[in-house]
Amino acid sequence: MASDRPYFICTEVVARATDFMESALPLTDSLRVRLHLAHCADCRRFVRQLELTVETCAGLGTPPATAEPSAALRAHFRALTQRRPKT
Amino acid sequence: MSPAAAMTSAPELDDATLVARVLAGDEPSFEALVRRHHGRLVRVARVLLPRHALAEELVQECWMSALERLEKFEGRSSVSTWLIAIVSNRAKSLAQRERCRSAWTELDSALAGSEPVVPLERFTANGRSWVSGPNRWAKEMPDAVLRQAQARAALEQALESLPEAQRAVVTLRDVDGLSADEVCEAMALSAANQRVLLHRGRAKLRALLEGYADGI
Repeated sequence: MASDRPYFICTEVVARATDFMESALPLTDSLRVRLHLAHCADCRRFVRQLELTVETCAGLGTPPATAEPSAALRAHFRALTQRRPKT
Repeated sequence: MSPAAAMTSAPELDDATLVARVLAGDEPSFEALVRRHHGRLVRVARVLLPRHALAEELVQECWMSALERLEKFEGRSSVSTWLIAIVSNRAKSLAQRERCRSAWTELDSALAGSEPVVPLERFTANGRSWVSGPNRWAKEMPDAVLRQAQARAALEQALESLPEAQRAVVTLRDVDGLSADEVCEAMALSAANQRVLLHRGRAKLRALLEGYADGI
Protein backbone atom coordinates (compact mmCIF):
# COMPACT_ATOMS: atom_id res chain seq x y z
CA MET A 1 0.00 0.00 0.00
CA ALA A 2 2.98 2.28 -0.54
CA SER A 3 1.94 5.73 -1.61
CA ASP A 4 3.74 7.95 -4.10
CA ARG A 5 2.09 11.02 -2.63
CA PRO A 6 4.40 13.20 -0.53
CA TYR A 7 1.92 12.91 2.34
CA PHE A 8 -0.12 10.17 4.00
CA ILE A 9 -3.88 10.15 4.37
CA CYS A 10 -5.63 9.03 7.58
CA THR A 11 -6.10 5.37 6.62
CA GLU A 12 -2.42 5.12 5.73
CA VAL A 13 -1.36 6.60 9.06
CA VAL A 14 -3.68 4.28 11.00
CA ALA A 15 -2.25 1.27 9.13
CA ARG A 16 1.31 2.32 10.04
CA ALA A 17 0.72 3.47 13.62
CA THR A 18 2.52 0.57 15.33
CA ASP A 19 5.41 0.65 12.85
CA PHE A 20 5.67 4.36 13.63
CA MET A 21 5.58 3.79 17.38
CA GLU A 22 8.23 1.08 17.05
CA SER A 23 10.46 3.37 14.97
CA ALA A 24 10.34 0.75 12.22
CA LEU A 25 9.33 2.98 9.30
CA PRO A 26 11.75 4.12 6.62
CA LEU A 27 12.79 7.71 7.25
CA THR A 28 10.63 9.19 4.49
CA ASP A 29 7.52 7.34 5.73
CA SER A 30 8.22 8.36 9.29
CA LEU A 31 8.43 11.99 8.18
CA ARG A 32 5.17 11.62 6.27
CA VAL A 33 3.47 10.27 9.39
CA ARG A 34 4.86 13.12 11.50
CA LEU A 35 3.70 15.64 8.92
CA HIS A 36 0.22 14.14 8.95
CA LEU A 37 0.03 14.04 12.75
CA ALA A 38 1.03 17.69 12.90
CA HIS A 39 -2.27 18.70 11.34
CA CYS A 40 -4.65 15.76 12.06
CA ALA A 41 -6.05 15.73 15.60
CA ASP A 42 -7.99 12.49 15.01
CA CYS A 43 -4.90 10.50 13.98
CA ARG A 44 -2.89 12.06 16.82
CA ARG A 45 -5.61 10.81 19.14
CA PHE A 46 -5.53 7.34 17.54
CA VAL A 47 -1.77 6.99 18.04
CA ARG A 48 -2.04 8.30 21.60
CA GLN A 49 -4.81 5.76 22.28
CA LEU A 50 -2.59 2.92 21.07
CA GLU A 51 0.10 4.15 23.48
CA LEU A 52 -2.43 4.20 26.32
CA THR A 53 -3.60 0.71 25.34
CA VAL A 54 -0.01 -0.54 25.65
CA GLU A 55 0.27 1.21 29.02
CA THR A 56 -2.96 -0.43 30.20
CA CYS A 57 -1.81 -3.88 29.09
CA ALA A 58 1.46 -3.40 30.98
CA GLY A 59 -0.60 -2.89 34.13
CA LEU A 60 -2.32 -6.26 33.76
CA GLY A 61 0.91 -7.99 34.78
CA THR A 62 1.26 -11.72 35.11
CA PRO A 63 1.42 -13.88 38.23
CA PRO A 64 5.03 -14.46 39.29
CA ALA A 65 6.39 -17.88 38.50
CA THR A 66 8.36 -19.88 41.06
CA ALA A 67 11.87 -18.59 40.59
CA GLU A 68 13.87 -20.96 42.76
CA PRO A 69 15.75 -23.80 41.06
CA SER A 70 14.12 -27.13 41.84
CA ALA A 71 15.98 -29.77 43.83
CA ALA A 72 16.45 -31.78 40.64
CA LEU A 73 17.93 -28.78 38.87
CA ARG A 74 20.35 -28.07 41.72
CA ALA A 75 21.41 -31.73 41.70
CA HIS A 76 21.95 -31.52 37.94
CA PHE A 77 24.09 -28.42 38.39
CA ARG A 78 26.26 -30.12 41.02
CA ALA A 79 26.68 -33.25 38.92
CA LEU A 80 27.69 -31.22 35.87
CA THR A 81 30.11 -29.13 37.92
CA GLN A 82 31.81 -32.26 39.18
CA ARG A 83 32.10 -33.62 35.64
CA ARG A 84 33.55 -30.40 34.20
CA PRO A 85 37.33 -30.26 34.05
CA LYS A 86 38.78 -27.86 36.61
CA THR A 87 40.29 -24.75 35.01
CA MET B 1 38.00 -10.21 49.37
CA SER B 2 38.76 -13.91 49.13
CA PRO B 3 37.81 -15.75 45.91
CA ALA B 4 35.23 -17.72 47.90
CA ALA B 5 33.59 -14.53 49.21
CA ALA B 6 33.66 -12.95 45.76
CA MET B 7 31.74 -15.91 44.39
CA THR B 8 28.82 -15.47 46.74
CA SER B 9 27.45 -12.02 45.85
CA ALA B 10 25.75 -12.76 42.57
CA PRO B 11 22.40 -10.96 42.20
CA GLU B 12 23.72 -7.65 40.89
CA LEU B 13 26.19 -9.11 38.40
CA ASP B 14 25.53 -8.99 34.66
CA ASP B 15 24.53 -12.13 32.82
CA ALA B 16 27.90 -12.71 31.14
CA THR B 17 29.68 -12.64 34.50
CA LEU B 18 27.10 -14.95 36.02
CA VAL B 19 27.56 -17.41 33.16
CA ALA B 20 31.34 -17.39 33.65
CA ARG B 21 30.85 -18.05 37.36
CA VAL B 22 28.34 -20.81 36.72
CA LEU B 23 30.89 -22.50 34.49
CA ALA B 24 33.38 -22.22 37.33
CA GLY B 25 30.93 -24.09 39.54
CA ASP B 26 29.48 -21.20 41.58
CA GLU B 27 26.03 -22.29 42.74
CA PRO B 28 24.84 -18.87 44.03
CA SER B 29 25.51 -17.47 40.55
CA PHE B 30 23.44 -20.24 39.04
CA GLU B 31 20.61 -19.48 41.46
CA ALA B 32 20.83 -15.77 40.59
CA LEU B 33 20.65 -16.58 36.88
CA VAL B 34 17.56 -18.74 37.42
CA ARG B 35 15.85 -16.09 39.59
CA ARG B 36 16.50 -13.42 36.98
CA HIS B 37 15.19 -15.31 33.96
CA HIS B 38 12.88 -18.08 35.11
CA GLY B 39 9.67 -16.06 35.37
CA ARG B 40 10.12 -14.59 31.91
CA LEU B 41 10.89 -18.00 30.40
CA VAL B 42 7.77 -19.50 31.96
CA ARG B 43 5.70 -16.64 30.52
CA VAL B 44 7.19 -17.31 27.07
CA ALA B 45 6.39 -21.02 27.38
CA ARG B 46 2.95 -20.25 28.76
CA VAL B 47 1.79 -18.27 25.75
CA LEU B 48 3.01 -21.07 23.51
CA LEU B 49 1.56 -23.97 25.52
CA PRO B 50 -1.93 -24.56 26.83
CA ARG B 51 -1.24 -25.15 30.55
CA HIS B 52 0.85 -23.37 33.17
CA ALA B 53 2.09 -26.63 34.74
CA LEU B 54 3.31 -27.82 31.33
CA ALA B 55 5.17 -24.53 30.85
CA GLU B 56 6.82 -24.77 34.30
CA GLU B 57 7.91 -28.35 33.65
CA LEU B 58 9.27 -27.51 30.23
CA VAL B 59 11.30 -24.56 31.53
CA GLN B 60 12.87 -26.71 34.27
CA GLU B 61 13.97 -29.12 31.53
CA CYS B 62 15.29 -26.20 29.49
CA TRP B 63 17.46 -25.05 32.40
CA MET B 64 19.03 -28.53 32.50
CA SER B 65 19.66 -28.39 28.79
CA ALA B 66 21.05 -24.85 29.03
CA LEU B 67 23.45 -25.94 31.78
CA GLU B 68 24.76 -28.72 29.56
CA ARG B 69 25.21 -26.36 26.62
CA LEU B 70 26.53 -23.41 28.59
CA GLU B 71 30.15 -24.00 27.62
CA LYS B 72 29.15 -23.60 23.96
CA PHE B 73 27.37 -20.28 24.55
CA GLU B 74 29.45 -17.81 22.56
CA GLY B 75 27.73 -14.60 23.54
CA ARG B 76 26.57 -13.78 19.99
CA SER B 77 23.14 -13.01 21.41
CA SER B 78 22.23 -11.96 24.94
CA VAL B 79 21.85 -14.70 27.54
CA SER B 80 18.14 -13.84 27.70
CA THR B 81 17.65 -14.29 23.94
CA TRP B 82 19.65 -17.54 24.00
CA LEU B 83 17.50 -18.95 26.82
CA ILE B 84 14.28 -17.82 25.08
CA ALA B 85 15.39 -19.65 21.92
CA ILE B 86 15.91 -22.88 23.89
CA VAL B 87 12.48 -22.58 25.52
CA SER B 88 10.78 -21.61 22.28
CA ASN B 89 12.23 -24.54 20.31
CA ARG B 90 11.26 -27.06 22.97
CA ALA B 91 7.80 -25.57 23.41
CA LYS B 92 7.23 -25.72 19.69
CA SER B 93 8.24 -29.40 19.56
CA LEU B 94 6.04 -30.20 22.54
CA ALA B 95 3.06 -28.33 21.09
CA GLN B 96 3.43 -30.25 17.81
CA ARG B 97 3.87 -33.57 19.58
CA GLU B 98 0.82 -33.05 21.76
CA ARG B 99 -1.09 -31.45 18.89
CA CYS B 100 -1.81 -28.39 21.00
CA ARG B 101 -3.59 -25.49 19.41
CA SER B 102 -0.86 -22.89 19.58
CA ALA B 103 0.33 -19.60 18.17
CA TRP B 104 2.25 -21.46 15.47
CA THR B 105 -0.61 -23.50 14.14
CA GLU B 106 -2.47 -20.29 13.37
CA LEU B 107 0.46 -18.21 12.23
CA ASP B 108 -0.15 -18.41 8.51
CA SER B 109 -3.81 -17.52 8.76
CA ALA B 110 -3.04 -14.83 11.34
CA LEU B 111 -0.67 -13.14 8.92
CA ALA B 112 -2.88 -13.55 5.86
CA GLY B 113 -5.34 -10.92 4.78
CA SER B 114 -5.13 -7.19 5.11
CA GLU B 115 -8.32 -6.22 6.85
CA PRO B 116 -8.12 -2.67 8.18
CA VAL B 117 -7.63 -2.34 11.93
CA VAL B 118 -10.26 0.40 12.03
CA PRO B 119 -13.46 -0.17 9.99
CA LEU B 120 -13.40 1.77 6.73
CA GLU B 121 -16.85 3.18 7.53
CA ARG B 122 -15.18 5.42 10.07
CA PHE B 123 -13.35 7.25 7.28
CA THR B 124 -14.50 9.28 4.30
CA ALA B 125 -14.71 7.27 1.08
CA ASN B 126 -11.27 8.43 -0.06
CA GLY B 127 -9.73 7.66 3.33
CA ARG B 128 -8.39 11.18 3.70
CA SER B 129 -10.12 11.93 6.98
CA TRP B 130 -12.14 10.39 9.78
CA VAL B 131 -15.95 10.58 9.68
CA SER B 132 -16.19 9.27 13.20
CA GLY B 133 -12.91 10.08 14.89
CA PRO B 134 -11.56 8.45 18.04
CA ASN B 135 -13.24 9.67 21.22
CA ARG B 136 -11.36 11.51 23.95
CA TRP B 137 -9.34 9.46 26.42
CA ALA B 138 -8.08 10.90 29.68
CA LYS B 139 -4.42 10.28 30.36
CA GLU B 140 -5.58 8.47 33.52
CA MET B 141 -7.28 5.88 31.29
CA PRO B 142 -4.85 3.00 32.04
CA ASP B 143 -5.11 3.40 35.83
CA ALA B 144 -8.88 3.86 35.67
CA VAL B 145 -9.38 0.73 33.54
CA LEU B 146 -7.15 -1.33 35.81
CA ARG B 147 -9.04 -0.12 38.91
CA GLN B 148 -12.51 -0.86 37.50
CA ALA B 149 -13.14 -4.58 37.86
CA GLN B 150 -15.55 -4.74 34.93
CA ALA B 151 -13.29 -2.85 32.50
CA ARG B 152 -10.23 -4.81 33.58
CA ALA B 153 -12.05 -8.12 33.18
CA ALA B 154 -13.28 -7.05 29.74
CA LEU B 155 -9.71 -6.20 28.68
CA GLU B 156 -8.39 -9.52 29.97
CA GLN B 157 -11.20 -11.31 28.17
CA ALA B 158 -10.48 -9.41 24.95
CA LEU B 159 -6.81 -10.32 25.21
CA GLU B 160 -7.70 -13.99 25.70
CA SER B 161 -10.08 -13.83 22.73
CA LEU B 162 -7.50 -12.56 20.26
CA PRO B 163 -6.38 -15.04 17.61
CA GLU B 164 -3.57 -17.15 19.17
CA ALA B 165 -0.66 -15.54 17.35
CA GLN B 166 -1.87 -12.00 18.11
CA ARG B 167 -2.50 -12.92 21.73
CA ALA B 168 0.98 -14.41 22.05
CA VAL B 169 2.71 -11.36 20.59
CA VAL B 170 0.65 -8.77 22.52
CA THR B 171 1.03 -10.68 25.79
CA LEU B 172 4.78 -11.08 25.43
CA ARG B 173 5.39 -7.52 24.28
CA ASP B 174 2.84 -5.41 26.12
CA VAL B 175 1.95 -7.43 29.22
CA ASP B 176 5.26 -9.18 29.93
CA GLY B 177 7.52 -6.49 28.51
CA LEU B 178 9.73 -8.59 26.24
CA SER B 179 11.64 -6.75 23.54
CA ALA B 180 10.72 -7.08 19.87
CA ASP B 181 13.88 -9.14 19.28
CA GLU B 182 13.01 -11.52 22.10
CA VAL B 183 9.49 -12.06 20.76
CA CYS B 184 10.81 -12.66 17.23
CA GLU B 185 13.20 -15.26 18.67
CA ALA B 186 10.51 -16.91 20.79
CA MET B 187 8.03 -17.20 17.93
CA ALA B 188 10.43 -17.52 15.00
CA LEU B 189 8.88 -14.45 13.45
CA SER B 190 10.38 -11.82 11.22
CA ALA B 191 10.41 -8.32 12.69
CA ALA B 192 7.83 -7.20 10.12
CA ASN B 193 5.43 -10.06 10.89
CA GLN B 194 5.82 -9.49 14.60
CA ARG B 195 4.70 -5.87 14.08
CA VAL B 196 1.75 -6.95 11.89
CA LEU B 197 0.45 -9.20 14.68
CA LEU B 198 1.17 -6.58 17.33
CA HIS B 199 -0.66 -3.87 15.40
CA ARG B 200 -3.75 -5.99 14.79
CA GLY B 201 -3.88 -7.15 18.39
CA ARG B 202 -3.32 -3.70 19.89
CA ALA B 203 -5.92 -2.16 17.59
CA LYS B 204 -8.56 -4.64 18.76
CA LEU B 205 -7.82 -3.90 22.39
CA ARG B 206 -7.93 -0.15 21.66
CA ALA B 207 -11.34 -0.59 20.08
CA LEU B 208 -12.56 -2.35 23.21
CA LEU B 209 -11.22 0.37 25.50
CA GLU B 210 -12.88 3.00 23.34
CA GLY B 211 -16.18 1.74 24.73
CA TYR B 212 -15.04 2.47 28.29
CA ALA B 213 -13.57 5.91 27.68
CA ASP B 214 -16.78 7.85 28.23
CA GLY B 215 -17.18 6.49 31.74
CA ILE B 216 -13.69 7.57 32.79
